[in-house]
Amino acid sequence: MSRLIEIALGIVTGIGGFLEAGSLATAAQAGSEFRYDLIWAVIVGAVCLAFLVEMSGRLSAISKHTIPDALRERFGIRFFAVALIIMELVMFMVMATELGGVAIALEFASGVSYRWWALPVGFVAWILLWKGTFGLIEKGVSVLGLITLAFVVGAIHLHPPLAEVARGAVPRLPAHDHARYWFLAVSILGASISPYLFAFYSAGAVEDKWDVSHLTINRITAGFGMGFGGIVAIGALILAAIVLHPLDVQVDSFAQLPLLLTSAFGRVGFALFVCSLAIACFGAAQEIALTAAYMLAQGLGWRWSENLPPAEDARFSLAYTILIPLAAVPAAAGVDILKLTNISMVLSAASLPVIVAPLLILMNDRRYVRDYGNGWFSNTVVALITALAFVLAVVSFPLLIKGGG
Amino acid sequence: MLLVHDVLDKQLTDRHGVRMGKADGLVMLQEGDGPPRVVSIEVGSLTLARRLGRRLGRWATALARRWGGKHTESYRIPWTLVRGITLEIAVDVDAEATRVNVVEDWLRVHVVEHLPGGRP
Amino acid sequence: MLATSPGTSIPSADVRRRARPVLLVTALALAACGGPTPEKAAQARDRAASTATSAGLVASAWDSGAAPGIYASDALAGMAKALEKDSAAPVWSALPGPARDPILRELGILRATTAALDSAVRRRDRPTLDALRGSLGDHGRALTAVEIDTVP
Repeated sequence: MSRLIEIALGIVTGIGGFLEAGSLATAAQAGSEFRYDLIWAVIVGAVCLAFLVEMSGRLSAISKHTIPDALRERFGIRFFAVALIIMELVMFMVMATELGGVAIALEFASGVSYRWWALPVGFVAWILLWKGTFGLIEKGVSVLGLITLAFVVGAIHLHPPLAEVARGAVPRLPAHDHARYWFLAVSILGASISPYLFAFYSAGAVEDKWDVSHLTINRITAGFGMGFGGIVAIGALILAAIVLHPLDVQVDSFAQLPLLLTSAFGRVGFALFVCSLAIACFGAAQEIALTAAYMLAQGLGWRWSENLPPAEDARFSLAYTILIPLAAVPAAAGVDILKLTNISMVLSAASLPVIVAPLLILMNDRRYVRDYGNGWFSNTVVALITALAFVLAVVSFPLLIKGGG
Repeated sequence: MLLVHDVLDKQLTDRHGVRMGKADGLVMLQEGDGPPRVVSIEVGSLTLARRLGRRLGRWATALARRWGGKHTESYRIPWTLVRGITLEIAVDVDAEATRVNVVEDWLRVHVVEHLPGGRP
Repeated sequence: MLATSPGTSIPSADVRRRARPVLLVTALALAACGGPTPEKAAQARDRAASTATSAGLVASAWDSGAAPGIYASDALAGMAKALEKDSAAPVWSALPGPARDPILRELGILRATTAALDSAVRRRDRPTLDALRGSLGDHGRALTAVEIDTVP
């Protein structure tokens, strides 16, 4: 019975934890500018994420090592140092975005500028990590994150033309604004396939002391949880397509986004939006803060665990203690959070090869995965994703310049 | 045994199975005409810094001398204490008894315990 | 004793490969940075029209009770500021007088109308809000109707 609960919790965690500032903003921009034409990008992103997360979990369950552990052990300190710097930079930017998202939600609710909310939000994020345990963080915020299903319910409520939605699930070439279209496609992929998610998930597998018996749960959590999480982003995209696209409204500010849910639910929709944005971004900020500390600690061989009190893993705890206030600075300084979101999603996509290529190698290294390594199918999928990751890395900067708007 | 492949950067675990850092470096001795043999495993961020680049190593050493006082040398584990190498290197020492945790302890006493909730 | 640290398996060519995108970015940034063009002016015009429409949506969301006043006022103030920035943007210099003048005129009216919507929300003045929404719609359409010749 308890395994069933674990599975249910795993799926819930995946769905509730999918949406955050990046996936919401990119989905809304895509829906408002290209109607249903970019749904395929969300689907591709979610499917890739599901495969990669399942592998991260399997790797850690069998080897009892996390991805950052393995990155250094298998590929050496020089590769790890490069990977670490790239990942930490991207994670910093995404964390700044998420903290900004929470602050903006609070601005909508209170009228007080998000600049004032940034540091208090950072403080709350910090204290929950400082005093909390891994289970609390992982499950607590993700269960609360189920509120983002409001976007799915809202989308259904507004009766989108199903045939056209289905057509959008098929990859297609854009009818107009090619640079902008591909920029959004890359951003959506970067938002869905966030590299920090694998490191976080693999650390979680070790925190929760997973072993061979957890492989099925892992597959279900990754497959159904992360996969279905994409539906939430599609919901937001459909809402934007219905509410904003017909009026030629482009999304260039978070202030337009509450309209997505107010159109469906009225005043309740507004409350649902504010709560969804705040909870989704807060959860993501915590995950990223932990991952940034995990990567540093695990790679450098420090003692680490969110389940330990800070006194017992001082360097690990101080890592996120320093990082969180720093990440709150951009929002406090008044940086345009939507622009920051767009940039960090593209950079996220560009940094993918650094994690995905090593993962492909690790999943075939018997010292790590023993008899549970990738079969030919999984290997083909990961190889394709790796190729995609390199393509994204190459095209993302030019697209950011030309299509960033 | 391929030192780089099998030993360097691997996770070390003590005699109780507790993790105690990664093998940051190796100390080798060249005796006469024979091949150099491994004398000990070195654990410490200084060793790491030196591996990443000469300038980084010198800067890190200078920093450590200013702050660390006598703790400027990385901790060395004699090769004879290595019990086995699988995915991890099992060494017959007690993590608590080693100097591996010097920085941790310093940070715990001087920083962590001053923050709210830092004292367990 | 000799302390040596043997190199690891991945060479620094890896680092060099990562430096190439940076050079590519710099080159493209210099290329794309160019000055005002009619295409950019058309994009800016569409963006401003989108902001104006959004202001109308926020106002009617407040009118119907869906959006609370705190948020509506906040959002409208932000949109008015955005329209002000659009008015002052240098991109309009790429357009000839017959296109530029009506655009700047409509932008000014839209900015003022959006700011007025903000005060109407704060005063809870629904009749004024309704009138302003109508005006917003009219001038938004006028803005979109201005012909911009992007063909050289």
